[in-house]
Amino acid sequence: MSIDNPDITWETLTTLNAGLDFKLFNQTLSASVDVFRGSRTGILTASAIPGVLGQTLTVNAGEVESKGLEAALQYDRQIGPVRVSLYGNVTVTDDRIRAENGQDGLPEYQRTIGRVVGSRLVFLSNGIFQTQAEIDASPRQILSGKVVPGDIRYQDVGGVNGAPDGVIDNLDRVRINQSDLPKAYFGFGTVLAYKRLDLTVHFQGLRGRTLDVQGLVNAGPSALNDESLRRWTPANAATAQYPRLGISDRANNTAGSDFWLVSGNYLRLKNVELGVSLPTTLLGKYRLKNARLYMGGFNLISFDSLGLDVDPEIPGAGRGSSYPYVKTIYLGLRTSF
Amino acid sequence: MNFVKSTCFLLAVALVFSCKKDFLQRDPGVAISQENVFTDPVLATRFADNSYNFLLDDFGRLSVLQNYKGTTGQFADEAVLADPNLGHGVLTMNQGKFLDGNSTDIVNVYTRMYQGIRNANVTLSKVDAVAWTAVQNGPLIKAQELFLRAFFYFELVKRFGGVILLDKPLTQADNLDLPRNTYDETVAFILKDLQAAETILAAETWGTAYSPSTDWDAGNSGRATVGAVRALRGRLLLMDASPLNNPSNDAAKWKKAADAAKVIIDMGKYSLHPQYATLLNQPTSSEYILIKVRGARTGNGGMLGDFIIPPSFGGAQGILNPTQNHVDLYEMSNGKPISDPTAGYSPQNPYANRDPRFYANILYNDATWQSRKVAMGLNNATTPATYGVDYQPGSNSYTRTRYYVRKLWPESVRGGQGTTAILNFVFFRYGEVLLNYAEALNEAQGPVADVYTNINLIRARAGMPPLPTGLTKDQMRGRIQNERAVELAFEEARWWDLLRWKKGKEIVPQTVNAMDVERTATGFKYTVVALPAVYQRVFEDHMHRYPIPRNEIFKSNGILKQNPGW
Repeated sequence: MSIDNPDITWETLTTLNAGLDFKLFNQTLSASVDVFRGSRTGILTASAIPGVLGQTLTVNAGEVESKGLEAALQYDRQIGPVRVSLYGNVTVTDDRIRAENGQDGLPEYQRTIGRVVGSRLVFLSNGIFQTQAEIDASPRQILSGKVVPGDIRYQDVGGVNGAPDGVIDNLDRVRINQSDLPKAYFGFGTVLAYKRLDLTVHFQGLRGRTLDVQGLVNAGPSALNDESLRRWTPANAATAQYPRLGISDRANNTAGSDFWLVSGNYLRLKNVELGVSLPTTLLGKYRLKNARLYMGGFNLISFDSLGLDVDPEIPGAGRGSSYPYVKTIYLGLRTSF
Repeated sequence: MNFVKSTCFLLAVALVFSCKKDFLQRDPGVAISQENVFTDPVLATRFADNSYNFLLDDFGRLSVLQNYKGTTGQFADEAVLADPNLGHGVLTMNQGKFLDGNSTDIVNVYTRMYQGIRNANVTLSKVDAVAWTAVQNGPLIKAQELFLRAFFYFELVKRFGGVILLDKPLTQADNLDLPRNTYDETVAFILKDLQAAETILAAETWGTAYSPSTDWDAGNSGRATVGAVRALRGRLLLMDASPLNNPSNDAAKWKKAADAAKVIIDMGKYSLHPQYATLLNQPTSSEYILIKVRGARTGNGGMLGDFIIPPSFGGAQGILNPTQNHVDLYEMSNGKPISDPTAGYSPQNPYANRDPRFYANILYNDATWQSRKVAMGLNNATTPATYGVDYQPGSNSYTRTRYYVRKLWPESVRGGQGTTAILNFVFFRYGEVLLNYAEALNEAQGPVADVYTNINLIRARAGMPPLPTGLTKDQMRGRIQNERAVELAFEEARWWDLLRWKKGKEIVPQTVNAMDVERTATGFKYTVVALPAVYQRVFEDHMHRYPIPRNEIFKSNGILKQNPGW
């Protein structure tokens, strides 16, 4: 029962941008810096019309404020026989919700307003219960039928009267400024050439991203997969990384919580390539104008702290329908006649 | 090559000329404006009939995850929801968190009822101006919309007390921050709509489709009738006379409720279906006053397959589980409650010689069902110990109480298969009218002969002996309340009865029990045990009325006032 809103229109993007491009040191160093501050207003959101109308309406009332910085740096120089080229770029953004309907009546710690776009509403965890005595001494957790040692322990944050009430329920979920969307993207690399040899290296990465690995750890039939070996058991209680494995009644350990949030930051050697141009004297007898022999690879090394054997660039890949980036090593010869 | 060239040329021409300038300007072609709907009597009828879709019309309806799961019996002492998932709309109610977003019987019903009210109000505001032809009947449409609006407001008043009353559709340009009407105004509003609907329905005849004496023809069954209007009025007046809304225990209110039920009895049109066990499975029945008309159901997913039938019988989840508290309400077949030492109740043979409705409503350990025994016992004779196939400790898909609901599971329906059977959601049936009459009459006049007559009709149909004579008014009240719990089990009655009797605080927080079953060499050992904390309930006095959804309070700029205690 929604009514059409003839006044619906596009969002409005207002951006203030200040940029600086310069070259220094005999034009060997060039840089470009942009800072921006903008807001998107008129984002579609549910209307705040009372339910008594009997209809719902979508209106242009959401607002997001963004600020950020983009910078790029390039350094080119010939040092004797070596030609050096270094470069790097970075984009940093911060997007916050300024207005969204439907937030009234929620406790402040659950509202989206003032928080980053894509903020998560999660329980705050506090490790894993090791003994029944710990469970008895803690707020009552009623997300599943039973709570036993090996289950995730949660913090009592709020209650009906605004104060912790000794029960873990929806009012204990907290909206945190950790998002699937990165705060910063960056890339850097170099191109070096010495006589006939050349080397290209390119790194990329991002920071300020959090990933929810609950779905990965609990994937598979009855949640059984190769991560199951790191589950809590009485024998490995001290070192277990994940809560006990349950076939059913496992809502306590699959609920959205910060237990499952891990840093999605990574740095990846995206591409490296070493080449050598063969001398023309050698080529003449084969009637070749030039030839270059090269070898290299894509996605050879990644650094991340996911703690799972997944592609940090596409964490869901290989467990669902998407395909991960493959590690590629190549060897080639390019010639022209 | 010429072919390629000419194709490219044609494509280029097509690209240049195919796109009109207003391509993105989507003027309505199939969408019909509201004004146009009411210029066409066929469309107007369809628009009006849509109001029926806003009724709460099935047993399972609370879950936002699977909308066929969760029923109000699971708020009360009647049953538990085995799967303690917040999304099923039950757990937060059990915890007394009625304002939580997952308490769908509050949050969702409030908006759904106002959507229905809007549809009825739009129709009612236009119905007189439509150029009706012989193929439609404007007055009957009007009567149905009045009945439905009354029904929507009844669903609101029984939850929230007084609510905002609207007798015409509003637009978003109107002032929507309206104050609540009082409880009495709301009841009066509903009674007025019902009177207007009844006046039309009692007078109007429309070809072979409708007449007051024969009601609707087969093609129109499920529409409002005089009987349905009166049954709703009877239920409303009974609620109005009950302790929650009648703190001074005004006998005149009880008399009005008794009279409202008696009118239906005196119509002589309805009678009890002869067999209690097949009551909900009839295509038509003289006991049905108003039902939701829907096709036969399978056990392949849906409410039966995914809410009632456990995996061991081919379903997905059997998570509507009657409590021991409910089971204890069934008398012995000799008519005595099990607490009576002379009743012959044996805790180690608890399912022998009970009220026949127990066998019709409940599936218990060792009952025969679909050609085998229901097996829920722990077997210590094996190593490791095993359980009967119909019970798995700790599972969200099997019973937590060692009981399943038989009443909502026609035996011919096999879990996961295509076999079908009728299972009606009955809005009003004659059995309830008799119970309403007996209850109201006992309160108005004491346990007079007519109270006995009507309760005993219900009991006789079930195969139970009459109530003992010489009961006091209080004893009779207790027996009637017990009779309702048993007769109307799992029919969306118990929770609302507890609220209107103001017995929530007494009954709902009581320990919710299950039956523990263990196999022995000779049979079974039965032990009543308390369910884990997650199935226990919280109930305070102010919860007899639901709170207005929190976001509605916030949206109204302080004009909509919350109920006391919330």
